[in-house]
Amino acid sequence: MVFENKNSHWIDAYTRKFEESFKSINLLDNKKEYWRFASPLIWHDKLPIKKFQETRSSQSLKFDVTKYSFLRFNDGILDTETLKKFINENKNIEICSFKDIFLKKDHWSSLKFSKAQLKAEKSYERPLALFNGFNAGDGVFIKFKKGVKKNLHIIYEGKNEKNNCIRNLFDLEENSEIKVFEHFYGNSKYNIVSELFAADNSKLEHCKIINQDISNSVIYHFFGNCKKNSKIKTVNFSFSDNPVRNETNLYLEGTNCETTVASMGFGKKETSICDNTVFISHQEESCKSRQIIKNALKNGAKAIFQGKIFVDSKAQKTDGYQMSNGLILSDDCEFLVKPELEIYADDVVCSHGSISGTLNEDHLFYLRSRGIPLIEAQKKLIQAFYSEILDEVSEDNIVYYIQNQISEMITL
Amino acid sequence: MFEIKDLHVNISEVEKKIISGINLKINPGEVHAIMGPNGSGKSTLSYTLSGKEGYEIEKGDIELDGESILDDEPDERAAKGIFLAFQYPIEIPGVGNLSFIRTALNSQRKFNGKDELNPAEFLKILREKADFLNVDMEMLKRPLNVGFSGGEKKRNEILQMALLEPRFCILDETDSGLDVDAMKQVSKGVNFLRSENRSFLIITHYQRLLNYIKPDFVHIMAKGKIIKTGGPELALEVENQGYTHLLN
Repeated sequence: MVFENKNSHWIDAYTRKFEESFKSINLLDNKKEYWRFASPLIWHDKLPIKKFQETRSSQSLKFDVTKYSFLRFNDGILDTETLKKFINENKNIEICSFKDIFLKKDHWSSLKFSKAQLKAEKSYERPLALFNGFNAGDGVFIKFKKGVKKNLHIIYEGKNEKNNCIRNLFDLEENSEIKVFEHFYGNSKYNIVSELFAADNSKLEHCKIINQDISNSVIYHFFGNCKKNSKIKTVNFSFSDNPVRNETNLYLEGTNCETTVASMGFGKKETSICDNTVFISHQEESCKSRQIIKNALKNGAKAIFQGKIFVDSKAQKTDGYQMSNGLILSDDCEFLVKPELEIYADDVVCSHGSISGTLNEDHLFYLRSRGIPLIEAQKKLIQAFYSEILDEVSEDNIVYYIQNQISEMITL
Repeated sequence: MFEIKDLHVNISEVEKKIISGINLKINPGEVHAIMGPNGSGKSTLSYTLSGKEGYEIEKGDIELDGESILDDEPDERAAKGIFLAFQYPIEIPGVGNLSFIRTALNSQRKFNGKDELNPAEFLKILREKADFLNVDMEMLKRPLNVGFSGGEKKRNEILQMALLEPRFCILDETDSGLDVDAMKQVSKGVNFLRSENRSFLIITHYQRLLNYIKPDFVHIMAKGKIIKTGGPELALEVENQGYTHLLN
């Protein structure tokens, strides 16, 4: 329960609560269930900072400006010019930067703020999401009104060598259809919390790309509450040489929701950790959830997948699916997997599986027997490995961009 | 000219000798058939010629136009003109058939110092060959061999052969899993590709394929060796009497 003091801003009470909760957690405790494979300190401690190097990849993802609205974060702060432009172009969308919310006594987000996160915290602690709760410097809060269709591209560019805590909130009203593409590159360390409130019949396609030139760690918590008939898809791409943790928590609170969580990671250095921790909670009947995780690893890189499907006793006719695959390209790599099903209803279909292996020698030989050189054949097979994830992305330019990234990564 | 000289091959994984001294000379334009009972080493021979890993050459040589290809990787052998039509063409989910064939063709052109084909040029050539071989263009848009029927897979192999225009083609039990109509179609494609510059090595269990693709020479292989060589009548002899009398 959060109480407000009449003399303080309504967010302050949450901030205090987050700070108290965070301080009660021992980050050194390596027995915490969801931090057994990688300590939170990996994302919380200061890592060595490398100099920012602009690469071809960070420049080459372009969106059709007639189809997409654009927002940019520079060093963790929402760029006011892109915000003003967004406001001018989108009269049917309410948008506000997180830091400006402190200037407003009343704001629509007060009814939603932290609700999705606090619900998720009840199942297990997310210390770094709590840390974000009292350290967030900026973010973007957006309400997409009923029936709105919008494509949004958000860039996070960092050169400041700091830990950027950013807090976003996406509120999708009934029948809205939204695409959000988030793209990270630069030097900074990120701790991001995004909350999603998806009303009845709303649709979200959320795609996140963490580039290989990110020279620091990223932890991204995505907390979502999904109402009746909503369709939520979140697709993550990580090419970073540094630790990335995507923690996705979706509560399916209305009947007939459909969710897909798809993640691909390509680790090519021993400093690379790609952690996907996913918690899907089926609270109502006839909902469908899919988790598809694919990691290709070489040169000592590590990947982690912890995926849980929880089915409440009310959630009959649940259809839950979870599959993780590791493509191990050198012997010194690790793919650590912990799939979980917790089911309290008796009329459900839930399955999980995990398969890891190397490139199929017969496939390689077939391609090479037609004249395709080894490296090209490997590229084709690695792209094929990821194809199920790419199939989830509706934008062709993102698919081409990712395919090019994969090609670059293989030759590095 | 393609020549196999006193070839001895072990399979590294099981440390077992499979081929024990094969000699075979195939001139341009010739069609040679190899027949033999199960386990005689026919498929091992086809994989060895095309350079698959795990087939250790203990002794002997394989030459193309007088030059050894033993040190060449499978893709280099392919680019030099050796083509293996697989007994069981591999299904590769996620690899588009069209993209695969175009990459293969352009890789070989690059290797041979020719300009790569742009998508329009490639599609023009592909359509011509696909039409002739009765290959549905829709089928080619699917992932490589995934969900193809046995006949579709084999026609896809012949289509690749037609596009890549190899000099030496190995057909490893191309007739397996085909009904009579599919076998006729595949044979039509092979016969279309016969030319004075292109030679074939056809590996088969049965004489029936050789009714449609007439060989110049038939070799019987057993226990890793060629034990008898003759004309097309040798295949008929096997059909009528089996292998037993030849093995004794």
